[in-house]
Amino acid sequence: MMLASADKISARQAIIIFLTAQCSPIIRIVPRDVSRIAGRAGWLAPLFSMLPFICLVYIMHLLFKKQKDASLGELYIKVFGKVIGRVILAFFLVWFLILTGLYVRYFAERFLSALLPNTAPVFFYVTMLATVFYAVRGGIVNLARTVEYLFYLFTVIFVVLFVLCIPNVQSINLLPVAQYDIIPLIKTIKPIFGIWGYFSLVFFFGDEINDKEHIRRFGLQGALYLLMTCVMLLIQTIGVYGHTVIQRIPLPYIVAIKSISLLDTIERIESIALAFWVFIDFTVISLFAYVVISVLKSICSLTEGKNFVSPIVLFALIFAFFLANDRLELGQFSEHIGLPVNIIVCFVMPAVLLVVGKLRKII
Amino acid sequence: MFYLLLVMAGLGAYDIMQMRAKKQTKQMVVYIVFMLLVGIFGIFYFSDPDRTSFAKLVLTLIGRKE
Repeated sequence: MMLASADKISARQAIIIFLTAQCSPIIRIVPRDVSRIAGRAGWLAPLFSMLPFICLVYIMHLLFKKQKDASLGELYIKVFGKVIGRVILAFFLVWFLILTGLYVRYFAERFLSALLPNTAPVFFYVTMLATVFYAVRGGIVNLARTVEYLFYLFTVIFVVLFVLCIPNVQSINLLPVAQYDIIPLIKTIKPIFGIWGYFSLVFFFGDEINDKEHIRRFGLQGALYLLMTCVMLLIQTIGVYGHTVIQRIPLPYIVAIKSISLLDTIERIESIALAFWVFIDFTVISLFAYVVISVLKSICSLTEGKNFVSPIVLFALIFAFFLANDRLELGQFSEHIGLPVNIIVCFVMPAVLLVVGKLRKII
Repeated sequence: MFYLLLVMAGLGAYDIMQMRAKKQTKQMVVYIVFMLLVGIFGIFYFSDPDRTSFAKLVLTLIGRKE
């Protein structure tokens, strides 16, 4: 048996990074999109995205079954050849850089709309990117340990806030659900799986993950976590205000948290949720920064990449400004471009990689 | 734009010194090219911050601008 390297993270830690990173876009996009598409049956939507997610777990399991020391980027080059593989990775690199800027912008937008409307966005960009710069330069091991510790804390707070929301949930907002809801529920796969697909991103630094033989086990445990938290999120939002309200408000989760009142004395505890939203935003931006470094390493066959954090955070800073003029454009970009491209990059391409790899007997 | 270029120069010099000490020539070349591209992008954007946004450009291109 191969000894685990101290410079690497475990498969469990990699899945935890994914689980934490997906929370930010899921909380922002899913309640609104799912309410619009599936109405009051929307809270069942995560069940329908489970099947493609489990397929993705198995795809990753099969890809790394024999290639235990490789990263996903290296597999693209191995399977598609040096030229085509690098062209595909160059496209991924550009896309991940765009997403890094997108999440920086969303981080600032959230604070501007929920807490500090008169603050210059550059303040949020710089504070977040400075933290990401420091964390990512420290390496994946330090980042994974920080995220792991805060992930448990985040989960506890998420569950507590859900429990406190239960008295405000009205069954009429969630039921009845009929067989006519199946088609709209299938359509909700796009917003949910467009984000859950980020599962494959952690394998771009697969060469820094130790026990890849456990991808399937931890992946399926992660699937259960995703299912439970996503259903809780949707019950908490659609169940409190109903699908017609939720689909019209920009931050449904924060609005649902605002409805919490403890013994009619403690109110406005949404600041706790916002504080943890900062942490999950930090995780998703750090993940993308690290993925960009890993893809760059694969394209240029580099041995070390921590110095590349500087140009990446500077690019994210400029791109956060350039990305969109207002929140409407940002939302449209996510819906019409972000989610479909995510599905292609994170699910379709790894599936194609697996098929071609098997045909060429490389994987 | 001035502050951005200042930060870029500072970080660039620091990183290049680190890579030079480790004799990572290939890394250094890729880094300089990447940093230059980011610098050009920064000058492009900050020379006219009111230009059409990236999202608007792409959405118009695919005919989805509402």
